[in-house]
Amino acid sequence: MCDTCGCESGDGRITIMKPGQPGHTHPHEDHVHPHDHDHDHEPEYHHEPGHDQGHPHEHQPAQDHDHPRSAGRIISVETDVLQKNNLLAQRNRGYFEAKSMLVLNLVSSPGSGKTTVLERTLNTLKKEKDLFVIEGDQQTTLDASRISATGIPVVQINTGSGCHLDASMINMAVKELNPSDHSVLMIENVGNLVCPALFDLGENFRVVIVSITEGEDKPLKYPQMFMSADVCLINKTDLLPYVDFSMEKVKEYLHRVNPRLECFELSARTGEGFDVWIDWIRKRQST
Amino acid sequence: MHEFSIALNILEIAESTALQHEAPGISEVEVEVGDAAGVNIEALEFAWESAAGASPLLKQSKLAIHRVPLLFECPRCRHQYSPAELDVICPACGEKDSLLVQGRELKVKSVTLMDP
Ligand SMILES: Nc1nc2c(ncn2[C@@H]2O[C@H](COP(=O)(O)OP(=O)(O)OP(=O)(O)O)[C@@H](O)[C@H]2O)c(=O)[nH]1
Ligand SMILES: [Mg+2]
Ligand SMILES: [Zn+2]
Repeated sequence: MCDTCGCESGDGRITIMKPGQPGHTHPHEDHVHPHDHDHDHEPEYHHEPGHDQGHPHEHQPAQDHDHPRSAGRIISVETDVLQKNNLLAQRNRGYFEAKSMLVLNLVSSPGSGKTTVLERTLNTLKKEKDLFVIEGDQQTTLDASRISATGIPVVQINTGSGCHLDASMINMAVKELNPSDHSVLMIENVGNLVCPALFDLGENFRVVIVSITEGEDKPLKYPQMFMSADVCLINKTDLLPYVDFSMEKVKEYLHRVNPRLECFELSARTGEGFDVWIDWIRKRQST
Repeated sequence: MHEFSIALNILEIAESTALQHEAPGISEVEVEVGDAAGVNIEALEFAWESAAGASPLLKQSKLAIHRVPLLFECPRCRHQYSPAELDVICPACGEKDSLLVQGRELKVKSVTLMDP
C-alpha cells in the first residue's frame, strides 16, 4: 500500500507523463514511502519475534491516564504525523523561491472548473510570462491535453486510486518540467475538497474554486479546505440567472471559516471577472 | 480516503521509534487529532486496523486517539471560546476575525514499547 495516497490496488504506481510521450511509472520507493510493501530494504524488520509473540502482557490501568494504558515503556514522540510531507514541501518551496517562481495549488470538487480556469488564465498570461502546469488526476491525460493545446508545457501526474497530490509527486514532476526562473507554475490538484487540504505541496498560494452550481454551503461542509486556502474563485457566474444561489451567503460562509480569504467572482466560460484574478497573479509575481 | 495515508504515516513514526529503541514491538500508539485537522476518526481507526495488522512490530498495538477540541481567540477582546464548528465570530464582542489557536493538531504523542 502507498502511504501517500493510501492506494492498495495493483502495482500502486504513480505515473508521470507529458502529453504525446509515453509515460513512466514511479515505483513507490520514489515517493515518500515509509512503509514498504515487502520490507526488503529494512532487514531489521525480519528479526524473529521469538518469545514475544506468545507472551501475554497484562494490560494494567495507568494512574495518569483516562484509559487503561498498555504495559511497557512509554516513549514520548511528539512528532507531526505529516512531518515527512511537510519537510519535502519545504524543500520544494526553497527550490521555487530560489528560482523566484510563483506557485499556485488549485483545488476544488470535481468539475468546479479548475481546468477551464487554467486554460483562460494561461491564454491571458502567456504573452507576458513563462508558465508551467502540473496536472493531477487519478486517471487519464485529458486535462493535460487541454492544457497542452494552449501551448504551455505540462506534466500529468496520475495518482491511481490516490485522492490528492503530495509534495513528493510535485518534486518528481518539477524535475520533469524543468521550469524557468521567474515563471509561474500552476498545479491542478485532484478534484476533491477533503484530502488535498492536508498536503502541503510547497506552493506559495492555495486557490480553492467553488462554482455557483454547487450551492452555498461548501465552505461549511469542507471547512479545512477553505481554512487552508488563500484565495477563493467563485466560478460559473454566467449561470447566476439560472441558479438559485446567493453570492452574499457564500461569502458569509467563506469568511466564517476563513476571514482572510480573498474572493473573486468570475466565469471561466465568458471571462467575466477575470481581470481582477489576473491582476492578483501579476501583483503576486512582482513582489 | 486520506485517513489511510495518515495511518501509514503514524505507523512509520511508531516503527522507527521501536527500531531506535530496539524494542520487539509496540503495544500502544498515542495520537492527538484536532477537530479541525481534517481527519475522520472512525475512518482513521478503520485504516489503522489494516495498516497495523500488516506490520510485524505493530500487529498487537492499540491506537489511542485523543481529540483536541477547537479553541478560538478573539484578537480584539482576547476572549477564548470552543464552538462545535469553525466560527471566527467572537461571541463576546462580535469581531469576525478570531484565530484558531487549537484544533489543527495531528501528531504522534507517544508510543508504548513492549518489553524485550
Ligand atoms: N457555464 C460555465 N461552465 C463552466 C465554467 N467553467 C467550467 N465550466 C464547465 O464545467 C465543466 C467542468 O469544468 P472543468 O474545468 O473540466 O472542471 P475541473 O474542476 O477541472 O474538473 P476535474 O478535473 O474533473 O476535477 C466543464 O463542462 C466546463 O465547460 C463557467 O465559468 N461557466
Ligand atoms: Mg480538471
Ligand atoms: Zn471579541
